[in-house]
Amino acid sequence: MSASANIDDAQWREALQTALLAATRDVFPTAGLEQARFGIRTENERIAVLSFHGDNAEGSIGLAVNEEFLVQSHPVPEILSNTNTDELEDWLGELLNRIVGRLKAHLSHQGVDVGMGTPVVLRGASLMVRPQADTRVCAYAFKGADQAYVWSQLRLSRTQVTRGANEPRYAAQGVVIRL
Amino acid sequence: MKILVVDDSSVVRKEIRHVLGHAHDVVEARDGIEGLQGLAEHADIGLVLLDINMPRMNGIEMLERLRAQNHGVPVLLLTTEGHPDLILRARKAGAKAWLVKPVPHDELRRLVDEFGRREMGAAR
Repeated sequence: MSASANIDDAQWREALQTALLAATRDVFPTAGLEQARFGIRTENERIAVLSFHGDNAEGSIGLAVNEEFLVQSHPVPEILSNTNTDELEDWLGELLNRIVGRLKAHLSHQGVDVGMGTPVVLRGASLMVRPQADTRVCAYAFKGADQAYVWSQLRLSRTQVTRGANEPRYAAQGVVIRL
Repeated sequence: MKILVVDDSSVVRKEIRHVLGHAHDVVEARDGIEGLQGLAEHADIGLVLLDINMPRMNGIEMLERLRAQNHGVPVLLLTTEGHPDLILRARKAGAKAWLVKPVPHDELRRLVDEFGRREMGAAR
């Protein structure tokens, strides 16, 4: 890394919002997104959550969408059974994986490298997502979709966080790199 | 050609089977351990499509184990990851290409045909 500058709280909040929005748009290019108040309650019965961590930050990202949205977001919707719970949950986890893959790339441009876990799908009749202490949070709602949200929480470590001027560039979505 | 698809997502495996199954024989594995078993059981596998983030054994570990065994099957990584360090690691382990999901279906078919043909040509 070459020249770097410290990132303050406001810059962090902006970086996370920008990265989450860009990552979600990468995965759902035609979806409209609007900022939502954090503290999400959903009747979707299932949400996917995935944690990520790095030298200087850790957090989680979540996705809640209904079954119709899930099926229609698949590149070959006809092969996805909307009555097969395992398949729908698997696809929900895969979509979240893709958002996190893109989020990592966008955060990297802000000087933060994070590793990610595997998605966990939670079920419940009514699910409430609350912010944890000391976290930067942001959430977006999908326009025109009933109770569909993506959100992220991020906690910085006490280590000084710096923004690199020449961070390595992640491969973008859809890119093919011949090795 | 017989193709091994290693991905923990059953929906992704199903999608790849849908895209490639008309022209190729698709064998599935859910993680790196099953992937290595699949290669041991099917000596005629001509190409591996390999995810990275999987439980038990990830794709990079599987790739490195393959190369430690001097297994020459061509491997295309198909993943949501895109970090330069991982790409470099995959290159050192002999992966042929790095594909960031989602890859358009036509492009996937073209790459599978290209690398499959190249390897079949090299084997002659």
